[in-house]
Amino acid sequence: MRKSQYTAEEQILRSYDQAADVESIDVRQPVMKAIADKYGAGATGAGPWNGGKSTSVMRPLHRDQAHAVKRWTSFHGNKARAAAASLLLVLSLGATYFIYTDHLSQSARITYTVKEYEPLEDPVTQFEIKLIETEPVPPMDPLSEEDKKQLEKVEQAKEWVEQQLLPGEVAFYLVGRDLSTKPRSATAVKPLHFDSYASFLSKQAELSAVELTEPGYLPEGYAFKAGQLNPFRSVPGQASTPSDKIEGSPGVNRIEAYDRFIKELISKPAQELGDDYRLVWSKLPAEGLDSAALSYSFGEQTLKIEAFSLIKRGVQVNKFGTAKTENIVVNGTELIYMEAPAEGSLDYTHRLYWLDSTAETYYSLSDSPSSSLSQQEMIRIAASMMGKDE
Amino acid sequence: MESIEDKIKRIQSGEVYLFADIIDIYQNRIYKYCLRLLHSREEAEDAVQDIMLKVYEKIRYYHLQVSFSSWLYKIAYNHCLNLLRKRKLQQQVQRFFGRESTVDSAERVVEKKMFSEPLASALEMLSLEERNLLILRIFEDKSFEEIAEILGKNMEAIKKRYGRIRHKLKESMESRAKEEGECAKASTLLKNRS
Repeated sequence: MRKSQYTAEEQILRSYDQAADVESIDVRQPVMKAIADKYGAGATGAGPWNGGKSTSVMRPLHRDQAHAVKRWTSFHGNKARAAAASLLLVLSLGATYFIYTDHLSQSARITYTVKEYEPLEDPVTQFEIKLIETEPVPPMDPLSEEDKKQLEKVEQAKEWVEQQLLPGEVAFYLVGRDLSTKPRSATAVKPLHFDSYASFLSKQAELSAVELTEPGYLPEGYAFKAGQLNPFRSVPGQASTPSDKIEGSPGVNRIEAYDRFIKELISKPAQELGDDYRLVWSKLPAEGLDSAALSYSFGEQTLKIEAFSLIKRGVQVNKFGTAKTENIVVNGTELIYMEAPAEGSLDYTHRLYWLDSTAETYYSLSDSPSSSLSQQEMIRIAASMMGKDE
Repeated sequence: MESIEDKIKRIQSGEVYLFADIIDIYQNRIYKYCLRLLHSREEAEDAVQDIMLKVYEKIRYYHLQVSFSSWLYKIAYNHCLNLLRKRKLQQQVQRFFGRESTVDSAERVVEKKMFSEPLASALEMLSLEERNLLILRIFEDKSFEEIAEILGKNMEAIKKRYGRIRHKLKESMESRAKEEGECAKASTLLKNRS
């Protein structure tokens, strides 16, 4: 767009911009070096995708780039240090390692060690994956007719709101007879679904979603079923005002922002749901995607791999009803392993959790209740995702 | 002269070294865009490098139906969005542990250098999505068609939203100018009295 195409008002706004005058940067050298380090700089295939054609990444760099190698390399150095810290953590546990080792297993292609369960903690972010044991809440007394009606209306509202959303969008809604006094609130999410791995990867790149690639090893018979990218569920009122919470008490500001959001929402025209129930809703600002999932199937059996950004302080996983929980160490990476009893109501047979500090992601791998996969096979799949399968 | 799209095809076919040219062409545009979103030179420069590496790794998924520039801006926006979300979480964690962050105040200083008053204060009233739309239109010279491509939305909806944002911005800037005028008036009155 040329300057003459701007309105007078836009021209004035442009005059306030000082970013246009900032000093230029030159990142060619560090980026091309990172590519060369990662994919090889010489006559071998330099890309993750070029099929090993003879290329050279560094060849055309002519300009003086002496100033170009800066913090980024040290940032990546930090990532390497994070990985080293994880390794050190595992090694430092070595003293107690053999005390807790139950057995050393070796299947056809994977060697791992078993130890007693303990939480996993990311040494850089202190993100923790922890097992807790919580009994299911006993069934409540029979619901009143009014409560049943309200639940029915909330479900009706959810369906309606979801229909209004585009893939990747999130909305918040209130349902009730009188919206100003104790309405039911809920969030509706529309994930992005993919029928092919290629389209999943393409969108993952475009949206800078959490990194998740298919495992290097999959048991025979398993084929891609679906991919999914899930939007981040922000707290209503928080994301809409990114800069108004710098001063003053942050706690009060968050509550104020939420209250303001609810007041604005209630003042919007309501949708009639029948039986005097009303619905008001609002899309929440996009705050990116915070988790991704891939699923594979073999007949009735399924495998689900999920990746979550380390954007919270930790995650608690309920181990209630499990037959076995332990930690597994495979090629220097520690995982939590959970096994369901032969008879039970859990939705998996085996489940594994592990952290990747450098990708700032944690992963979950689970199979279906009807799965015939062994623990070794599950570990092998997980190891192949770490690039450590042999 | 060879078009960007042709260059991309050659990179996709294995002439990887040409990617240095892509960096050369876009790095400063993307840097300024990140700077306008992140308000930190260091973070913006790191972001450009991460974005370029990500683009290289994913370039085989780029299809010519969308312009390369729009695809690149889309990746850059989502990358910055993730960074801002992580930054917000870090600040919340610091507050939780009673450690006040100095990042905020530093950002505000830089922000005021990126956008001078009264625009800097008015931008604070906008959500990140709104800021992004405004930045793309006014400072990144993008047409509504390109913005629609970048944001994956309908062009007419973008135009309407842009109109609302401009109105909001104008109101905010006017109200601030009025407040400042009143302050200046009060200060003159006080001086005259003494």
